[in-house]
Amino acid sequence: MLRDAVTPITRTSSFRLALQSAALSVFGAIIVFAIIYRASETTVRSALEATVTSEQADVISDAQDDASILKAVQVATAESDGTFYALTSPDGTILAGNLPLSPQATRTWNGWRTMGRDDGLSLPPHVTAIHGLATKLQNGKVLVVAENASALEALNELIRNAFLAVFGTILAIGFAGGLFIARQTLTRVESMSKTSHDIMEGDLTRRIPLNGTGDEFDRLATNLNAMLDRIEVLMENLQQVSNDIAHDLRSPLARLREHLELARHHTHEPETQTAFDEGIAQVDSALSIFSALLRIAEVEAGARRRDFTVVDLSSLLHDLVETFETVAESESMTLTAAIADGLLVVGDRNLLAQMFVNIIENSIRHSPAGSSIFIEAEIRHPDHVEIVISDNGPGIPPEEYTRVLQRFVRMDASRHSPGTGLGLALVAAVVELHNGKIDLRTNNPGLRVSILLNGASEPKA
Amino acid sequence: MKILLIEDDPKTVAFLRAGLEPEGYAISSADDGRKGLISAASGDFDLLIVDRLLPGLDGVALVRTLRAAGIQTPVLFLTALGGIDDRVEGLRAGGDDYLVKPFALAELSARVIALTRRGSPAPKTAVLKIADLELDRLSRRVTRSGKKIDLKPREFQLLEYLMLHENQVVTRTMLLEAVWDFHFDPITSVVESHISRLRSKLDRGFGRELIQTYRGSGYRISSDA
Repeated sequence: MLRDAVTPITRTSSFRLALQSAALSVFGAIIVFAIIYRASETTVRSALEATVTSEQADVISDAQDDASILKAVQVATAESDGTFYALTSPDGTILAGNLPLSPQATRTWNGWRTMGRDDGLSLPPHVTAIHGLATKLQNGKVLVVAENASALEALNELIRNAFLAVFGTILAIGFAGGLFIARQTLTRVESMSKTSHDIMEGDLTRRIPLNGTGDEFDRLATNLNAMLDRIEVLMENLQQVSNDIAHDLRSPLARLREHLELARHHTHEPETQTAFDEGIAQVDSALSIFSALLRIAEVEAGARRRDFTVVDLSSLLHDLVETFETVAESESMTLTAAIADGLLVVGDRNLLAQMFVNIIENSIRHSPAGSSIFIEAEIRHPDHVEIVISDNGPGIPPEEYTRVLQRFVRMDASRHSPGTGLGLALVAAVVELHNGKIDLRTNNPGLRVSILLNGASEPKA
Repeated sequence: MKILLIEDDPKTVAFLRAGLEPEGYAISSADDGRKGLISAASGDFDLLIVDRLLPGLDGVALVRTLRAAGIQTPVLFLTALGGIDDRVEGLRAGGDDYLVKPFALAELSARVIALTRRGSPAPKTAVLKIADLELDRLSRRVTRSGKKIDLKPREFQLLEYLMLHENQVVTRTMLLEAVWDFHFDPITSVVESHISRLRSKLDRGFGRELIQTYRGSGYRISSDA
């Protein structure tokens, strides 16, 4: 659940950016801590080493031979104020001092060294580590002088803890900040996506909201809005141009029709009248192509989505079935239907009616007498309605399925039958307008057109 | 019958005059919206034929203004646009009918007759009668010479529309719009097949045909065959 909520945020680039900057801060902290650590450690160590060196110098300067050095170590040990001493024979045996070193440690100790309890050293309770210098004397004996290095250890630990705290804080802030920034960004981007989606739905008047801060998102939104203004103007121009063309072509044809009709009215020669009627019929068929083209353009523009209402598909289909039963019978065909009750879709009733009429008429037009047409409609999945219109006529070759949904595609076989060749193109446009799906397949034999529409749950007032 | 033509295109005006004057209508015309509004506001016309796109005042605004002023003269809109919204907008503004240019004179004349006769012999009764045919609009019962005729809902609506326009020619387009609510042109014989079915139901066993076909124009129901 939480994972589902967080995943889209963690996948944003701003979240990655925030994490990267947190990582960079951690890297910077490491460098700063390294410098601080080095500086303070060196200071403490130098102080320790100065003490050790002077203590050692005291012991050595007091004693010139074996006996006196032994004595000096014993005296120093006795007077010791926290300083550790050890005098060992060449084989590592301790001769004097208060530092319980193992023979092995003695043999390997040469020069400066820090040792703690971890190294097997038994130390007084308040001492956690020692730091000292082992010096080989002329007679092979070794003198070790060490100071309590607990402070050095404590410093190390302090710095380590401080570092971990800072590191953790930076990472936590980075992560939380990243989520926060990403959420902010996501909200802005999402509002842009939603606006774009609305625009694709056909509402070209929508614009991306600005939050007034003038930030980079506002600048982007301003530019996108300017682009949308431009597109809207272009779309209007395009629409204007297509309307102009349709109008320009329609007007002379309309005029021609008027003249033909008036001329027909004024003649009383039956043969001339027939000729005029033929001319008028030709003009009408050209005009009907323009009307169909304009209708498809109107549907494709998507503006009709604004007026979508809940449509009682069951009653619409029952009405159409009743009407086309009669039409089919007059063509010696049969039309039967199985339509589920209560089918509701969101859409434009007029366009849906025209869509179904075009499909049914396509079947009637292209099937021979004696054919049968079957219409069924039912709920598919929980929220879709499927309408299938099938016939047992000649059908369409499968390779033509996509082509027949385009404009002006008519199969050679149907060139001589009536229609503009735009009927199924309008069907495709109406399906698209309703965000539906159309599927053409063979009915073995015949054509089976299936349309999937989004169902509506209950009628809107 | 007096008709006011509010149309800015002189050629369309000439066409309308040529089509309507021989039918006995007195035509006046106005070539812009404002002049049209002033003439129409006098109220002494039987019909207004209004172009949707007019200089001065848009046709829809003109009709809306007239209706707001209480002038109920029937209005027939003319338009070069065939969009779905245009029709709805025109009717919503108070137009009574709508014709997309170009149109046949037969179509124009049928609609003008339907609009100008509307109201005068308006059937107040629930029962429509033509000769021995009776249609009860409330019980949705149809009888001829007292014999019940079973009609499907569409056939009933078709007969009702024809009987409401008794003795008038109604066109195929008028029937498609009124009976089927189809605002497009079907390529199959939707109207023809229903008329023929209706005829066979009404006239079977009776000598006289009540529904007449006017070739190239439409259909008419009347008792004087």
